Amino acid sequence: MKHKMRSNWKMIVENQVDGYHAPMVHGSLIAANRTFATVRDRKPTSPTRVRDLGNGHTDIDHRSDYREAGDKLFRWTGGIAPERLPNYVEAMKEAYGPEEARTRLIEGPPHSMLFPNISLAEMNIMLIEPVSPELSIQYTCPVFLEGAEELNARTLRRCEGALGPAGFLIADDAEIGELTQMGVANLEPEWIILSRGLGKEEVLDSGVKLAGLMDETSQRGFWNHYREVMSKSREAA
Amino acid sequence: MMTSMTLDSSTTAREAVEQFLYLEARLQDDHRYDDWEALWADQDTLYWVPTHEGADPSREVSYIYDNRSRLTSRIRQLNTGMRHAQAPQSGLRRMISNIEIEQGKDGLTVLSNFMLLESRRSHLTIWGGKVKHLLVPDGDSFRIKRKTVILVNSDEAIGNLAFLV
Repeated sequence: MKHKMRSNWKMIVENQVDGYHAPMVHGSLIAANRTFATVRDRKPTSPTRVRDLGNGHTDIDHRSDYREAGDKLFRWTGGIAPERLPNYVEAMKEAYGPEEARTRLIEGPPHSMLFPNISLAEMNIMLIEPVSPELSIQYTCPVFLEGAEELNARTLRRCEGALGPAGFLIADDAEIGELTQMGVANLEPEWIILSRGLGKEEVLDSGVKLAGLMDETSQRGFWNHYREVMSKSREAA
Repeated sequence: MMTSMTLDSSTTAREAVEQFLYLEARLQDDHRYDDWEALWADQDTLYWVPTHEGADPSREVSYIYDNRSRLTSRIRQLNTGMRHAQAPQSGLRRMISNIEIEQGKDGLTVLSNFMLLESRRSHLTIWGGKVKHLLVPDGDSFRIKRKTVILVNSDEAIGNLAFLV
């Protein structure tokens, strides 16, 4: 699925790594869909962490939220009852053992942005292609697991519901990207400030920085690395 | 293959179908979401916009693949007025033509072409494609059981499709 967006590719990336945009950008779906509204904690006090993984890679780590929410499996695919995916649950148990399988089914796949332009959005992969300074195409593809037909069918329908030009989520992200593009083109103010949570991050031994859902740690991770590689390329030229 | 229609009272049926398609078009163009939803049958419906003609919706992602419940969610989201991709709403007008009608055992299968002008901020966008309706009789009008929209540029990158197509 190919989605044309009238914004610079970096507007789309930044939107996908920011932890706090959902209540504003996706307020219509939160109001309209009870599952979407309740499957994650999006309050400022949410246990979800945003992470700067280094080299421009970032993610929104929902696992801490899902773990804290308790023992509910499959929050990452809309909180479906495990009884509706019996073969997948059984296959996971066989592959990892009951305990590890349970952990994986609670935590789910990542919600990450690989620098510069690949988004791993749970069971979807999106690639953002710059076409011009003010035009981008987002390619969206659901992830199918071999042999997991019941999960694949669900993944496909969820991809269509959320993503792409008619998706309940991404159409609004595209709109906000376009509005942001118009805003920055105005150059007034000249700078966008991304200082939320600056200097307050938890820094792990690995160098990974963790912060709360309202902090701009992930955006800074992206932009700092962008500046670094672009400065190098200028020097090389 | 679609053949010319075989109804006895063919002219009357054609008029009724045309009136129905024009009504649907007007409700969509005017963003009358609830009124448009009311044109649909109550259950077992499908609103499908594939990414190419002949797509397999069980293996390939579609732009829209709404069963009845998801169609209701789509309308509910638009009705919040906070769906940014349609706030402000697009200015829309569509023309419908090339209507072909076939009587089947499940209802009337209706093929048509459309061309749609969308105005949003400074952009004027032309949309167009082929539509296939499955209509079931309801009093002196119809309800929609299935609607498939194949955009002429379905396999290209397309912009936001957050209005009703």
